[in-house]
Amino acid sequence: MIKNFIFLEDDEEDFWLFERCLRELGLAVTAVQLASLEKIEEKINTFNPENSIVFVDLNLGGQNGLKIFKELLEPRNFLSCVLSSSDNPKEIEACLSGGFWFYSSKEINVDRQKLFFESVYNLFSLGKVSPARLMKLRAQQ
Amino acid sequence: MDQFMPHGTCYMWNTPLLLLHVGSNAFIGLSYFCLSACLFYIFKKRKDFPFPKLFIVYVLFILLCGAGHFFDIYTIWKPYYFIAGYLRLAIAMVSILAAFIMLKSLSSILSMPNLKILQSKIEDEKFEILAELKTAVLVLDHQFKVIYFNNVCGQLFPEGSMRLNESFFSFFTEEDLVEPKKIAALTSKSPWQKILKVEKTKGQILDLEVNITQVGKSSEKKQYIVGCNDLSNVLRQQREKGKLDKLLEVTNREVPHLLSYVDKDLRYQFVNRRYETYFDKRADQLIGEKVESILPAETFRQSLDVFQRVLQGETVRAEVKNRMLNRPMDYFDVYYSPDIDSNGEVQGFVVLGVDITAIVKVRHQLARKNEFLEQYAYLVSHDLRAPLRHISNYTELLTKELSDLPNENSKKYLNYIDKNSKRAHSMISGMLKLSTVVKDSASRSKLDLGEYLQEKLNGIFLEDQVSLKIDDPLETTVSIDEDTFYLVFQNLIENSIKYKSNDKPEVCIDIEKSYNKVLINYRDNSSGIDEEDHELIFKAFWKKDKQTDGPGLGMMIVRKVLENHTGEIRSLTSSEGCHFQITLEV
Repeated sequence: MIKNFIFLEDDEEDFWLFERCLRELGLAVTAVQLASLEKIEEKINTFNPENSIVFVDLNLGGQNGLKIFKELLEPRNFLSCVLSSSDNPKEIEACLSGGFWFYSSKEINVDRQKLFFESVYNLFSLGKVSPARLMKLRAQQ
Repeated sequence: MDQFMPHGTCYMWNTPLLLLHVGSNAFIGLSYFCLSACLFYIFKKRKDFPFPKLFIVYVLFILLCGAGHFFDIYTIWKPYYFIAGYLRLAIAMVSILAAFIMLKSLSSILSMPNLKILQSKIEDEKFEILAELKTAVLVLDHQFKVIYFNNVCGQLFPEGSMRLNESFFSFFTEEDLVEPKKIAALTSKSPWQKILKVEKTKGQILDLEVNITQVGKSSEKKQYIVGCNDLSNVLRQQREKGKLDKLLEVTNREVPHLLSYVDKDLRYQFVNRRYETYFDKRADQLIGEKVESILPAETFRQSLDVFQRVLQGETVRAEVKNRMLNRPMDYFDVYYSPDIDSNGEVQGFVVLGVDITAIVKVRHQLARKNEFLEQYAYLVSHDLRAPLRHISNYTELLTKELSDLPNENSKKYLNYIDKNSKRAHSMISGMLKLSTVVKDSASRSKLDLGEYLQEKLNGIFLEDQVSLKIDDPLETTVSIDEDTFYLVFQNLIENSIKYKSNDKPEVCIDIEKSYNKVLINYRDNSSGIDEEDHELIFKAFWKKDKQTDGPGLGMMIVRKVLENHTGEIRSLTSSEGCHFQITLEV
């Protein structure tokens, strides 16, 4: 089961909206915001990759989201996806070939954003495959 | 000897008688000696003299006879009659030998031909020999009239023109007329030679090398042997070679590109002077050198695969990077054309290298600028879209929070804010999309158009969204950028859906191919386009219905993508729905 939706997000308005979406959906997950590199380095080890999914904003206070993924998330087997305002095809290609699970643009519609989180949650709700297991399987491929 | 008296005693020493005998014998002896000396001289000079044994014996015989006469004078005073007898005996033996050899040679001597007959025979044989020659030969009399010509003459001179007693110079064209008197004077010293033109058939001018040799000295017996060689092919080849040499010289000097010929062992056989600019060596120093030893190792390695393909008979065009010592990187657009002989074997290849360094630099600058602009566009759009998204999303939330508000105006205003922020967001997205298709696409692939569209469009549109029929009976192949070309039809179909006239939009794409064009007819069953709007639809932000979603950039994107493919689109009047005609150059 998924317990944590970790947002590497420095935009307060976005995080607040994501948190509200999850609250409205009534999902049993905790929304966590890690807004800076220091925070990520400090806190990431406190979460279990078996029950956490990381949503990475690519432009994180001047830090490159792909670099953070490669250095901090991938070695710890955190299943990570991009949640960004950008839809630059080159970035999408770089992220997907770089090891992200998938790439999603931030929605301009609240209901669609909620639907996105609900879908991600439902994927792991049966608990047959954990995020970390999925991450390892992807790595093996 | 004492018992004999000298012969003079018999003559009673009568002085007149003595003088008569002595004088006569002396003259005979001298004459015999002279005769034998002359004969011997002739024998020495004329090695071809027939019957040499007979000749020598006769010389000896005459010599001995002469000696006998001188000895007769001697015996008038000295009675050496035994010696005189032995001398006579020697003469007798030699005369017997001479008679024997003469008898033996008699039949041969008698069978020797008569000189006149021989001369006539030689004359006949001369003509027979001339007839056998592969060269055209004529014999002219002292007035340059033809008295003999062999068969080869018929191949060089106009048909039927070669006749006996015809003046030899009548065969040649006006400008080559020569004066016979001059020739007669000249040929008396050495053979005369000149190239003369003869019109074999109408328009066919042959260049004949004419050699005239005089035989016979007296004016009546004087004859001229004429040999004619057709030099037309040789001269034509020389002229062509001259032209080729000139062309090669001009190419060598003036062609502003690299031009070389490389043999199958990868050695330069020709390089023009342009090579000196890049390779820091004289052109003649490069000839015979291995390509491997001239090109930088990296360039050679890069080109090796191309060389192999060309040597297998393929014509190849490749972009080559070349960095020589003390030179910046040079870029060349190189054409490699194989030299295939009549047996189909590749003997080498011609290399034409066009320096495109300046173009490549501009291309690189442009690529960097494009990349920068693209990044800039995404950055700006990202920074603009984030606040718009916030406005839209929070307006949505605010509308929900304030749903119980009695003030209808507030709800309406919130709705306006939300709608317009979404519209602005959509416009930014549309402009961003447009910016990606405006730049010329670099990569093109040859694809089966019908198959490509079927695959792409079926991946975008669901079956219940639109009924799509693509008809491409000739399985047309086109060269397109597969990352952008489908956008043409994606946007057209999105419009067909947006402006549908009934529940299920229907789209039909017919692909036809003509000589050098591909014609695509796109028809749908939408509400259609008014005739006055046929051009307006391609303008930015133009929308038929302001209430519909989207930024109004779809048709502009369609036109831009087609322009990038050297194609065009026209909106045609249709009784039902829309009809677009797309033309692509093959």
